[in-house]
Amino acid sequence: MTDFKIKEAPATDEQARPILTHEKSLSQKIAHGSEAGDILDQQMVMLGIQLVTQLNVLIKTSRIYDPTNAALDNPVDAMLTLIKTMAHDQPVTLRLQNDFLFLGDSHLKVTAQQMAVATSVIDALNAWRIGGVSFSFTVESKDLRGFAALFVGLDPENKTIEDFRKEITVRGIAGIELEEERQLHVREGSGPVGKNGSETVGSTGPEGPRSTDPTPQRKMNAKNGYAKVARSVGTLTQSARERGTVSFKQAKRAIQNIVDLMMDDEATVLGLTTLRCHDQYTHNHSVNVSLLSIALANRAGYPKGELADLGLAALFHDMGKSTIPMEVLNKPGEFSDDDWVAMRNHPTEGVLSLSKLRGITNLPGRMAAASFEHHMNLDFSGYPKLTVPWTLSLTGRILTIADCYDAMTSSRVYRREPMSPSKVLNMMFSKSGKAFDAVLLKLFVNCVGIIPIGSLVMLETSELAVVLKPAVDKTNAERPFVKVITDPQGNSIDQGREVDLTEKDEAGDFRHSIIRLIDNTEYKLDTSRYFV
Amino acid sequence: MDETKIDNDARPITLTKEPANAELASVKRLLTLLDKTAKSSRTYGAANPVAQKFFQQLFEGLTAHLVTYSKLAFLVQRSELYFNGEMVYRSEQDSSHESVAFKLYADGIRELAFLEGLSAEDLSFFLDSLWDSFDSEEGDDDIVTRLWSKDLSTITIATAEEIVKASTDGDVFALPTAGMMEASESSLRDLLSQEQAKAKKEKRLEGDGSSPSGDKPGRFQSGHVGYDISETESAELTKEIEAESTRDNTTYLLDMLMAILASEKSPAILTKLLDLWGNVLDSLTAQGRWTELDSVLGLLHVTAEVRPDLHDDHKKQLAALLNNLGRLERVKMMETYLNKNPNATTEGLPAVLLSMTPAAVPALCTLLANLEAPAHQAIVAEALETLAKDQPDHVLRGLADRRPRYVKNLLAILLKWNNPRFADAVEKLVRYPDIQVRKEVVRAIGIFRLSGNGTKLVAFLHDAEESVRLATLKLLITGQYKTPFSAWSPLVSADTFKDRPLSEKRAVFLAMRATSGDEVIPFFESLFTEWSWTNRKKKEEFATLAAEALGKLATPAAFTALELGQKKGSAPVRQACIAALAQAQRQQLLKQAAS
Repeated sequence: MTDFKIKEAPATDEQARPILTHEKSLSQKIAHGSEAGDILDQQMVMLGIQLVTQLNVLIKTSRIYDPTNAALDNPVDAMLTLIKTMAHDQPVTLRLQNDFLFLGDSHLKVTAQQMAVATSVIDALNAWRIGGVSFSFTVESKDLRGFAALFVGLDPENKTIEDFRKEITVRGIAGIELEEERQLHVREGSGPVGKNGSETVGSTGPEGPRSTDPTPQRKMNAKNGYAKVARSVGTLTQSARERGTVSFKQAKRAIQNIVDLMMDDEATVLGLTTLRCHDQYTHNHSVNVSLLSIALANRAGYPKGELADLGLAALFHDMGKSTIPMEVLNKPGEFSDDDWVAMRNHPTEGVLSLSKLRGITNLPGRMAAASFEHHMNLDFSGYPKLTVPWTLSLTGRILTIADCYDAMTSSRVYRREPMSPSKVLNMMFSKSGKAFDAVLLKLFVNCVGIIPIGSLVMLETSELAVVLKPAVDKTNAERPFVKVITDPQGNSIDQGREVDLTEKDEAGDFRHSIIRLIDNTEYKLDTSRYFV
Repeated sequence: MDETKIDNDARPITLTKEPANAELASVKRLLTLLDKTAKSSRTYGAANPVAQKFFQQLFEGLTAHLVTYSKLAFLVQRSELYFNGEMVYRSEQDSSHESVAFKLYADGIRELAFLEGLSAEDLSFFLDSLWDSFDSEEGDDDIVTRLWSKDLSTITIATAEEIVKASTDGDVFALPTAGMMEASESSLRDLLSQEQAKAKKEKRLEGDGSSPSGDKPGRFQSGHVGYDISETESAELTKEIEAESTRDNTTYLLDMLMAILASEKSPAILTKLLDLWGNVLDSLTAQGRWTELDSVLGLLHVTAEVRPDLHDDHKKQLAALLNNLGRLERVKMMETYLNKNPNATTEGLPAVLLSMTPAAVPALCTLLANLEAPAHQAIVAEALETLAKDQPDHVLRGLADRRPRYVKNLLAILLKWNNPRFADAVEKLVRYPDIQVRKEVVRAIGIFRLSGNGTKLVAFLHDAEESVRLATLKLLITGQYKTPFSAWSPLVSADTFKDRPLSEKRAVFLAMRATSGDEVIPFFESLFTEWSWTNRKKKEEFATLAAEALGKLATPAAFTALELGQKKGSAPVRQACIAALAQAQRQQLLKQAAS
C-alpha cells in the first residue's frame, strides 16, 4: 500500500477518545443501561476469578470472626483492590446463572483446581438465591465487612433476598447490590441447537421475552461478535507487549462466531466494518480487516474451518506494530523518517514477534503470511523488499486488499485523511493486477459492492441514503440496498426506510435510483452510525 | 482395567421412583455410558479393548435412541446433567478432571445435543475433543472451537455466554465514532444543498446529460464493469486454497524466515532475527523435525558467505548460534523427543548431530546415557565418534558411569578409535558390576594392547563370571603378554581356584606357561611332588594340567621338571608327565626341523 502523508486536522480530546479499548474509560463508549454495557476484556475475566477467590475467603473468615477483627483485613483489602481496579466506570458484577459464573456477561472459566473455591461461592450464592452481586467503585472496607457479616449472619432458610437487601439498607452498607436469581434458558422446540446458540437460545432474565423478528437480534449478535473479537485482539496485543506470550483460544472462539454470523448475514457483519479506525489505540482496524478478509475468502471458496483460520490470521496482521512505541503510533503530527522506518518494518517485525511468541512449529502459516505480505503488493512494489524469489500467498493477497480498503477509508491509519469507500475502490481498481490481485479484487467488489457498503448517496428524490449492502443481482450492481437518512430537504430521519434500488414499479421502471455518489469524508460525516 | 472404578466415579442419579418414561430412562443410561466411555478412553486410550467396548455400546445405544427420538439434548450444570428438567447424571467428585459434566461446564457449555445420523467418527471426535482440549491448556482450542472447526451437523452445543449475550437487548455500542468524522446530523441539510449545487454546476459544464435507456435521467454510473470471475479463475482459486491448506506449515515459515535473513537490511531486525533462529532451532528440535533442522543449519552455515554485508556483530551472533547448537538444554529436548517417540524417523538427525561442535560432547554424552532406544543410541554414538575424537576426555570420564548400556556404548566408541592410550582407562573397569561391560573391557584391552604386560589382565581372572575369565584367558594364552609368576600366584593358590572348571584350570595353566615361561616351573614342579591326604584327586588334577603345560613349554627346565614328575609323582601324574615329555620332544623335533 502506498503511504500518503497528508497533514491531518488536529484531534480534539473528544476525537482522540478510543472506540474500543481496554482502558478504564471503556464503558463510557458503550451503551448505558444495557446488560452488554459492561464489556470486560479477558484480563477482567482473570481478575474475576480472583474476585471469586477473595469473596470466598471473606465469607469464610467472616463465619469465624466479627466484622472488625483484624483477620478480615487481608481479604477485605484484596477485595477492595480488585473492585477499585475493575469498577472504574460502572459497578463490577459477579453473576451466577445455573452454576455458571460470569463477570458481567463474560463467562468465568473455572479450572479443576479453582473448582473447590468456585463451588463454595456458588453454593453460598445459591443458598440465598442470589443471581448476582455488584460492587461499585465507592465501596469501602466497612461495607464489605458489613456485607460479609450479614451474608453469614442471616439465615437464608428463614430470610429472603429482599430481607437481605433491607438489612443492607438499614445498616448503611453502600456500594453493594444484590441481583435476583436468574436462569439460563435454552429455547425449546426450535429444532437443532445452533452452534453459536444464536438461533435457538433465549433468556428468562428479568427483561422478559424478546422480539420474534430475527433481524435486530442478528444485528445485535453481529455487534456482540465484533466487540468480542476486538476485545480478544486487544487482550492479545497487550499480552504480547507485556508478557511475551500469546494464546489464541479466546480470539479463536470469537472469530468462529464471526464466521457463523458472516455466513448467516454477510451484509450485516460487513456493515460493521464501516466502524473505521480513528485511533491507534483501538483495534477495530484489525477486526475490520479480519471481517473483510473472511468475506472475501468466503467468496473465493475457502471452506468454513479455514475461513476462521484466515480470520484469525488477519486479526493479527498488524502484530508487528506492537513493537512500535505507543508515542510513535499515536504521534499527533507527521512521522519522522525513523518513524517511517519503524512502520515499514512492522510486517517483518510481526513475523518475528509471532514466531517468537508461538514457536515456529506452533504458528499458523497463514498468520505469518498475513503479517509478512500485507504490504508487499502483488507486483512487490510495497514492503518488505526481498532479494530472493518469493511467491505471494493467497492469504497475503487477500489481506493486501482488505487492509488497504479499511486503512484508506479510515482516518488515522498512516496519518492520512480518510477517503470515501467508493473513492478507495476506484483507486484500488486503478491498481488491479499491479498492487492487487485482479481476480480477488473482483470478488472483493462482490462483497462490498460497486458502490460500497457505507457509501453516502443522493437518490433522485433528493433524499440522502447510505448503502447498506450490495445488490444481490449482479446485473444491477449499481442498485444496492440503501437506508434513507434524510428527507428531500436534508432533514435527518430517524429509522429511515430501507430501499432495494432494484425494485421496479408497475410500468417496469426502477422506483428509485442513485443520482449522485457523495464523498462523505469531505463533510466529515461518518456513516458508521447507521450501522452500529 | 478396573471397570468398577469407573462405575464408582460416575453413576446415574438414583431417583426415588422409576423413570417416568422410556426416553428418560434411555437418556440416563446413555449419559452414564458416555461418562464411562470418556473416562476409559482418557485413562487407557481409545484403542484399549475395554474403552472400545464402551464406545461401541455407547454408539449403538445413541444410534438406537436417536432413531426413536431424533435428538438427545441435555443441559450441563457444574457436575450434573439435566434432561427435560430432571437430573439424569451427577458426578461424585465436583471437580473431577474425568467428569464429562465438569469438562463441559468448565468450557462454558450449557447445552449439548446429539442428533440423528450421528456417526461413530463424529462421536469419536467428540470424545477426543473432551480430553485434547483438557490436556493442552496452552493450546488454542477447547471443546467449543474443536467442534466448530469440525462443523458437525450431528453434535451441537450452546454456551452459557452465548445464551447470556443473546438475551442482551441493549446495544453494544453507543455512537461509536467520535473521531475525525465529527459532522453532526444537522449538517446534512448543508451537505445536501452543497451537493445539489455541485450537481447543477457539473450539469451546466457537461451540457445536457442523457441517460441510458431504462433508467431515469442522471442516474449515477460507477463505470466499473466486468467484476464477475470466470470459471477458470474460480478453479485456479480453488487450487490455490487447496495448496495453501495442505502445504507444510513449518517449511513455509522457515522459507519465510530464510527470505528475511537473505534480504533484511535493518540491523535491529537482523539482531532479532538471529536471536529468533535460536528459538527456531529449539522448536524444530523439540518437535523432532530433523530434516528441516538439518536444512536450516545448512543455510545458516552459508549465511555469512551469502550475506557478506552482515555487520560483525551479526556475524558473531550467527557464529554463536551455530557454536551453541549443541547446548545442553537443546540436547535435552532431543532426549525428550526421542524417548517419547522411539519409532519416529531419525532421518536427518545424524547430520544435525554432526553439525555440532566438539563443545557439545558433554551434552551428547549425557544424551547417549539417557536415550532408551538402541537405534537412537547408535546415532549419537556415531556422532560422538567424530566429535569427541580429539577431545576424548569426556568419553573416558563416562566410563565411570553406573549405566552399563552407556558404558558399553562408550567402549564401542573407544574401540573404533582404537588408541592404545585408552587401555589404562579401560582396565580400570575390572570390577564394573555389569558382566557384558567387563567382557567388553577385556575385548577392548585385547585390541588396545596387543602385547606387553599382562598383569592387569590377570586381575580379570578373579572375576566371578566365567565368560569374562575365559575371554581373558583367551588373550593371555596367545603368548603376546608377559606376566611375572607373582601376578598368578594369588589366583592359583586361592582355595576357590580348585573349584573352577577343568577347562578353565587348564587354560589358566597354559596362560601361565604363555605369559611367565620358565618362571612358573617351580610352581608346577611343586604340584608333582605335593602329597596330601586331603583333596588328593584335585591335586593330581593340578599336577596333570601342570604336566600338560610344561609339555607345551618344552624348555630345558620344563624337561627337567617333567622328568622329576615322571619319577616322583603318583601314578596318574607320572603318566601325564610321560605324555607331556613325549609331546615336548615332538615339539622340540619340530622346532629343530624348522630351524
